[in-house]
Order: sequence, then C-alpha cells, then structure tokens
Amino acid sequence: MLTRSLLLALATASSFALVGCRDAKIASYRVRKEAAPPQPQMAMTGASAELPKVHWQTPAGWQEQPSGNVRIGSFLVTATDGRKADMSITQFPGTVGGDLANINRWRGQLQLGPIAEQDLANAFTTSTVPSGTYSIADIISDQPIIEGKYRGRILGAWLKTPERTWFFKLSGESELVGANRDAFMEFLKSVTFEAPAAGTSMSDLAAPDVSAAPIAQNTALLWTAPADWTAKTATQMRKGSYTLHGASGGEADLSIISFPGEAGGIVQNLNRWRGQVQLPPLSPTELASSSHTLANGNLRFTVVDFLGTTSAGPTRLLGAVLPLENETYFFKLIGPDAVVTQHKEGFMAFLKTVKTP
Amino acid sequence: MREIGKSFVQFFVSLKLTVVLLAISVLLVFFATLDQTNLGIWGIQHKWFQSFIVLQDVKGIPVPIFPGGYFVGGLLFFNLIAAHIYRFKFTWKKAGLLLTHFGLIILLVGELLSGLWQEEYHMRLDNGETKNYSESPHFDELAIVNASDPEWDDVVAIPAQLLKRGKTLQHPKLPFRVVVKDFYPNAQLQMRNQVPNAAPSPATAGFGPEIVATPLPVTYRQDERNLSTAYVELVGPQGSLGTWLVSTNIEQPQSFDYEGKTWRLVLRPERLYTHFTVQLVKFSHDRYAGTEIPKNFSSKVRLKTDDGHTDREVLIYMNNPLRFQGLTFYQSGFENNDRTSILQVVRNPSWLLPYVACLILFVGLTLHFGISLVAFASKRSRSLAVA
Repeated sequence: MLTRSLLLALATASSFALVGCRDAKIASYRVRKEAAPPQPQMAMTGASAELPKVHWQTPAGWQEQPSGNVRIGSFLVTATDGRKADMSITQFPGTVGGDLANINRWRGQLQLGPIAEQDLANAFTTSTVPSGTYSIADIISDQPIIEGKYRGRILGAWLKTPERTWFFKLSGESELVGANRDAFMEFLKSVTFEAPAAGTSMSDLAAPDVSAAPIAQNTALLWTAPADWTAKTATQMRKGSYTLHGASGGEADLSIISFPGEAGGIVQNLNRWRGQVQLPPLSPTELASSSHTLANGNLRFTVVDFLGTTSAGPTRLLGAVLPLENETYFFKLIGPDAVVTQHKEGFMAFLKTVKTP
Repeated sequence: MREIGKSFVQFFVSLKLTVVLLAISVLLVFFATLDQTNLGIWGIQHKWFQSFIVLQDVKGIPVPIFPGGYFVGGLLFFNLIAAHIYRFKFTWKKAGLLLTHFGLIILLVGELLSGLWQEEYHMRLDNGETKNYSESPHFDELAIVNASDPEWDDVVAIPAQLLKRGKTLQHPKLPFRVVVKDFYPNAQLQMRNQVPNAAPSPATAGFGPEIVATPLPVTYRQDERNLSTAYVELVGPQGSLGTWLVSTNIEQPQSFDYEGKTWRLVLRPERLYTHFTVQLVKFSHDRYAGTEIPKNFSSKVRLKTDDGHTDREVLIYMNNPLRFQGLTFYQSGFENNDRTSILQVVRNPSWLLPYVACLILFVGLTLHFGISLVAFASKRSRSLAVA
C-alpha cells in the first residue's frame, strides 16, 4: 500500500515537473552573410542589365567597400588618427518625399531639428556637371555626436530623374568631410550613367523592395484619411485598411490594394465587384455608362457606385480603380447601404487627397 | 490522517472523476471553438488548452472562468495512472484494456510534449531563392547585427517578449546597452507629413524621425498580423548613440557605425537558422481544367547541407512533407502570382508519439475485442453443447 501511494505521488510530481513555459532568452550566433536577393541592383561591376549602370572615378584615398542590398557604391575615408567618413551611393523610385524631406531626414541623422519650407531655398545649392544638375546640401551637427567627441557632417548631393532620385552622401566626422569636399565634387563630375539594355524602359522596372522613406503600408501612394475613419492593421494584401462607422450603427470596410499590371482589366474587376453585391455582370459599354472618371492632378480614377442586396440586406459598394504606371490600385468601400451612403462624400474627398510621393 | 490520505487516493482513482473530467473536456472544446471567432486558432490554443486555468479579461482584470487544458488533461493523466497503480492486477482477460489505457497515456503525454516543445515557423521562398532560416509567425525579435566582417554577420537576437517599456538589456557581445523607450505589440506607421499634428518622435536616428507610430489593438485574425514596433535607445559608455524606431513593418535594417564597426538594427520575425539551405527550384500550382479551383500545389526544392553530404532535390506537396534534421517542411501556401511558395516548418521532437499511441490503441482494442469474441464464442458453443 505504501509503495503504491509513493508511486502515485512520484507520478504526480514528475508530470508537474514536465510542464514549463517557453523561455525567452537573448541569443547570439554567427551566420554567413545573406546573398543579395535577386532584385534590381546597380554597381560599378556586374551591374544588372536592366537598369542604368553608374560609372565613376574613385578619388585617391577613398577605399571602395562592398555594396550591400541598398547601396550601389560604398566608400570609406579614413584619417590618419582614425576618424572616419562614409560615402554611399543609393537610388530610390520617385522623389522620396521631395527636397525638404530629404534635407530634414539628414538633419535628423545629425540630431538637428527640421527646417521649414520657407528656409528650404537657403538649405541647398545646385551644381551642374556632365551627368545632370545636382542639389547639394552641407549640414554640420551642433553637438559632438560621434563617439561623444566629434561633430558630424553630411555632404549630400541628389539628382532627380523622371523615374528615380540618386543620392550621393558623404557623412562622418565634420573636419574630415570638409577636407574631402573637393574630392566629393570631383567625384560627382566623374559620374556617368549608361542607359539600360535596349527594350527595357526605366518605368517598366519594378521598384526595389527597399525604401529610404518607408511610406505607410509600403505603398507607392500617399493619402490622408478623414479623422472619423478607424485605421485597421494592414495585411500583406492591403495597402490601407479602414473601418467606417455608421451614425446609427453598422460599419463599412474600406480597403486599398494594388496588383501588378492591369490585374485582369477594368471590366473584369468591376464585374467582380458587382458580383460581391449580387448584381449581374454588365457589358463594357454598359459599365462605361455606369461609371465616371474623377481627375485628381495626373491621377484618373474610374469611380463606380453599385447597390445590391446581399444576405446582410441592402449593400453598397463604392469603388475606384486607379491605373498607375505598372500597377493598378483598387479602393473599395463596401458595407450596409446607409453607412456607405453616409460616407460617400468623405470617400470622394479622400480620393482627392491621394497623391504620388 | 490516514483517513485523509485514503480519501485523497480514492478521489484520484475514482471512475467518477474520469467521467466528470471527460465531460469538462467536451465543454472545454465547445467553449474554445466559440472563442475562436475572437482569438483565432492560435490564440485559443494558448488560452484554453495550453493553460491550467482559462483567464478572461474583464475590464483589464484577468478572471478565471474555466479549468484549462493542462489542468483537465493533467488530472485525466493522473487519474488513469493512479487507477492502474492502485488497482493493478494483471490478467490475460484484461491485457487488451491495459494496453488501450497505456496507449491513451502515451497520447496524453504526446499532446503535453507537443504543447511544450513544438515550434512552428514559416519559410517564404521566391522562385530561385535560397534560405537557411525560417521565420516565426507569432514571435518577433530585435536583431542587432555586427556586420563588419565581409563574410559573416554576428547576430544578437533579443526576443520581442523582453522588449518592455523602460527595460534595459545587455549582452556581452554588444558594446552598448539597449534601453527600451517604448514597445507596441501592434502599431500603424505613417509618414510624418501625413499626420499633421503628430507628437514629436522619440526617435533621433535612422528612419524614425520621419515616421509616426500609432499603437493599435492586438489582432488575432488569421488574415492579419501584428506589426510590433519599438523605440530603442542604444547607450554606450560615452553616452547615447541615438534612439531608433524599429518595426516589423520596416523590413530594411537600419545601419550605424560605432567604434569603427558597422551595426545593423532590425525588428523582424524570430528566425530559426539551420545547417542546411533550401532553394526553391520551381513552384507549381495546378488547377482543375477550365476552372480556378486548385488541384494541387507543390514546391520542388533543392536541399543542401553546409558540410556537402546532402545535395538533392525534393518535391514537397500536400501530405508529403520533407522531414530533415528534426524539422518538417509542409507545403502551406503561395502568393505573389504563384512566384512565392510558403512552407510551414515545424519542429516537434515528440511527433512520433501520437502514431505510437494510435498503434498501441489499435493493438489493445483488437486484443480486447478478440479475447471477448473468443470468450463469447466458446461460451456459446458450450451452451449449445449443453442444449
């Protein structure tokens, strides 16, 4: 009897001992550097045939470094006493927020406050060299931000092309950057771009999966949502996601998604939307007469308003299709008729806030 | 005293307890299924099954509402073992039942060990892409990478569970401290110029100053993911190096130089590195002719170990996973117009136990019914002979 009770107690204790929790501990390990993913890359050597190659003359004393996923070129400038400056060449699609955003980003990196739009004109100069007209900013930090001893400085130049902005940035210890200013200007003069291989235009190329300025939900569009819309967590599909509440209850869902190319064509997509509110498909001419175009700068939205009856009652779908370069954006507001109707004006106003960066 | 001990033993070995526990198990499954609409499958597993007591948040206070899976399963386990220890008496007639109960015990232990040991990851591969790591769908980590070596990255990975506001974290491989200024389990990021009256950013370096992070409630929906976001300050012996905004929504690592070394900072899904690489050779998505209904999807991958001993192609498709070095790779999904394959990667050291348990259950039940059948048949033939 005693043995059996003892065995019972042991079984109980050992089973409890098995139960533990998942421990969260700091781990450290060494891994081989990841190979660059197969995405558009440009470099002095081995550049992708699809994008323009950049060539340059490396100034004396600049040490070329391996370029990573983002950098097209990378150099290290080292003073005899160990002070360092880093030169990077990068490119990003579009204007990356414009001149003011670029300068304020760099100022932020030097722990300086942002400047206002009216001060922008004095914040940079321009210089024309064979490869184009560069905007150049030279910014020095107020405080010793490098190792608590040295002031930081960014000497940056950017070149805007219709498709993208090229950045050349020399940053590091203030005096060292100043001493390399002439070398930097010579470097800019030496830059040449080699056109991409025939048959591929710049605008055909997919934007690389990197962003100097990660825009909300990684989209190439900017917008301002009305204050009474509740933002929801974006998913991999949705570039933007909101809940719109009705004055007398109920809620509608607004989604912003994009697909490459024409995404099957506008007729197919509008008829897919009609199906979602239990309406029969229409012919292309019928669809043309039941939609209208909303112009917002260079952007042309095809706007539709479909009212059908689903299992949830009268359901309205307010949609806008926006073809943009090599993508098509779909803005869809769907929900109970009363809620969507209430927000129709807000939706149309919202479309007018949509812009490219 | 002896009486108390006796009634304690009687309680644990009673059949009544078994019946009550089985009834509670049925209710547990029922309530958990209902709660799945709020929490999703992963959330309810933790709340209802992998817990001793189910806690419900009532106005911010956790209130116990039901016994959890570990409690009910654990008691069933003790009950079963206790009854056997207490009443154990081997007879051939009961051999089948004993074996069946032994199978049940293994099944319960297997479930407990799966709950404790099973780890789940995902591997996303584009056509032609090679990876030696998979990523957790539920946990994130702050990776601080010393990228100075041209060939190797030295990584210090801090689980996001440790990123609590005001906490200071240190590691011998980091020449600075990590001070967590703020942490949001889920947040939305917007460009500062999109939010006119946003408060100033705590971030002073990297992308952070341009971005406004707004905390959002944690989501449990299957088709959504939480974008955890944190403000972290790095503090060296000479003072602050700056405050960075890190978020799983910013996939690009942020670089900075310190003491002549290049460092990278990124908040990313927790990674599990392996000593082999998987390369997606081809993803196939077959549909039934003339329809969009999926018929089959499969990934042809090239499996290569670091030591070069293995280098072969494997086809992974539904119900035909790849098992290698303790990991199981299942075909889980696809995206990006069929150009990206998603493999579910599971490490479960106890994966064999349910199979063993089912086999023992099968043998036990067959034996039991066999013995009963033989006994019945011989009894019947005896009574016929008498008649």
